[in-house]
Amino acid sequence: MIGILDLQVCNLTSVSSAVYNLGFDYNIIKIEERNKLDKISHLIIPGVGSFSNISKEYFKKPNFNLELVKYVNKGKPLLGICLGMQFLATEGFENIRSKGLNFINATVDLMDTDNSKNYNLPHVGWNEINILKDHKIFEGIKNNSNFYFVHSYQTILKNNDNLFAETKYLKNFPSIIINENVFGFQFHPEKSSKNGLKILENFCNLKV
Amino acid sequence: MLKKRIIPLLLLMNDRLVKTVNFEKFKDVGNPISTAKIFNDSDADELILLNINRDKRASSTLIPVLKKISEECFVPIAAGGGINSIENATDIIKSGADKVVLNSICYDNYNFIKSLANKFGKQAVVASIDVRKIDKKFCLFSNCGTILNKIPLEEHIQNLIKNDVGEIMINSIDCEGTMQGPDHDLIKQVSNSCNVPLIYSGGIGNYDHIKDIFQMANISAVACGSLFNFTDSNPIRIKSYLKSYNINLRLF
Repeated sequence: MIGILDLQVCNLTSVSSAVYNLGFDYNIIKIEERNKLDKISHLIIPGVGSFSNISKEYFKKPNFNLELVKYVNKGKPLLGICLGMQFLATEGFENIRSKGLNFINATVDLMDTDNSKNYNLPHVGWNEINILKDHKIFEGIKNNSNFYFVHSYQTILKNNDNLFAETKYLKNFPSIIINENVFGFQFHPEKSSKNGLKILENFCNLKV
Repeated sequence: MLKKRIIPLLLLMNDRLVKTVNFEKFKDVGNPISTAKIFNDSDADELILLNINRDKRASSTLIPVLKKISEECFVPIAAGGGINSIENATDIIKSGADKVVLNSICYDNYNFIKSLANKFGKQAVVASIDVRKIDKKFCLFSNCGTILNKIPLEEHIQNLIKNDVGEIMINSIDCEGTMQGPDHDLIKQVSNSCNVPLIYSGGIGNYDHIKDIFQMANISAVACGSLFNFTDSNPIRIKSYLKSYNINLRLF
């Protein structure tokens, strides 16, 4: 059973439809429903909005975090999408300094831009990922495949071992980060056509 | 570097898709959901869905169609047509749109764009401008091309940008549906005065028309209707044609 965490910060329809279309059952989990995590084999944290906002929503219920840490320590796969990926970091600096999940040693800050037409923020549209290391998650994905991005902030990794793919806008930024069973995609797989569905399917097929 | 986009433009009239010529002469071109699915499967980079019903401007017809499309299509979706309140726009985003397309309301209330951009981020707000050439001047029309607005094109664009619009879509009413080629003067003028991503639509009848647009100006996307409805074309074929001209497209 695939779990999709509902932090009341975005529309979950696209993510849940994508998971369902791939042939997996899913369960939407609210932050009050930490007991549901037991029945979940793979958890997805989608996110649109600001880091400070998602942090506020999430840490409203500190008990959920205790359960999520247990979930990750069991080796079960966790995927953060877009803001959900950034939230895997230690802390973020969007609006105010806020606490992240700390599953990946990183911070989150504004992307580099020169404010020109070609490198404006937000970074919105189809861009390539440059795969740096081999991983099961890339099965069936060619190097330099295109994915759909919408964001102004980026993850800044403390440890390059977690960097598995990067994307170039004005400068390179991490587009796929992995720390053992914790995965982050900066792009939206649910909006990235065939490549997006494939990489999402690979995540849902990871063996626990 | 971001890829240039090829976008099928879907015009919704009640629960059917139609295609027009110069915003008139409505012709039925199929079921919106199955059509959107076909574009999704043939490498469209995005879909734009517009409600062009002049009597039912509200989003009541758009929302059920949009919901179904967003359950089956996994590319970005922009939707609009008659959006006149924040609640309206919120409903459209909640129904699966990534972006809302605004047109008529911009002329009355630029602040509306800013409020939407604050709520959903500016990438979620597309302003659409319908243009007719009258006495060699570009005149702006709202309400599906029926009402003339006095504001000059340049000034309107600057106002949109000042109010945090994420993207601008420019439509030539004179070219729309004719398949006789785009309005090059319009494209040049707009691309020079605009520092947000630009989508052009109107008059695309073959692949060279698209090639010319991408080669002559800094345009981010081309939206086509008739080309897909009345010829044996799809985004895959367009892209494989444009590939040999070094246009930066999403090929895989």
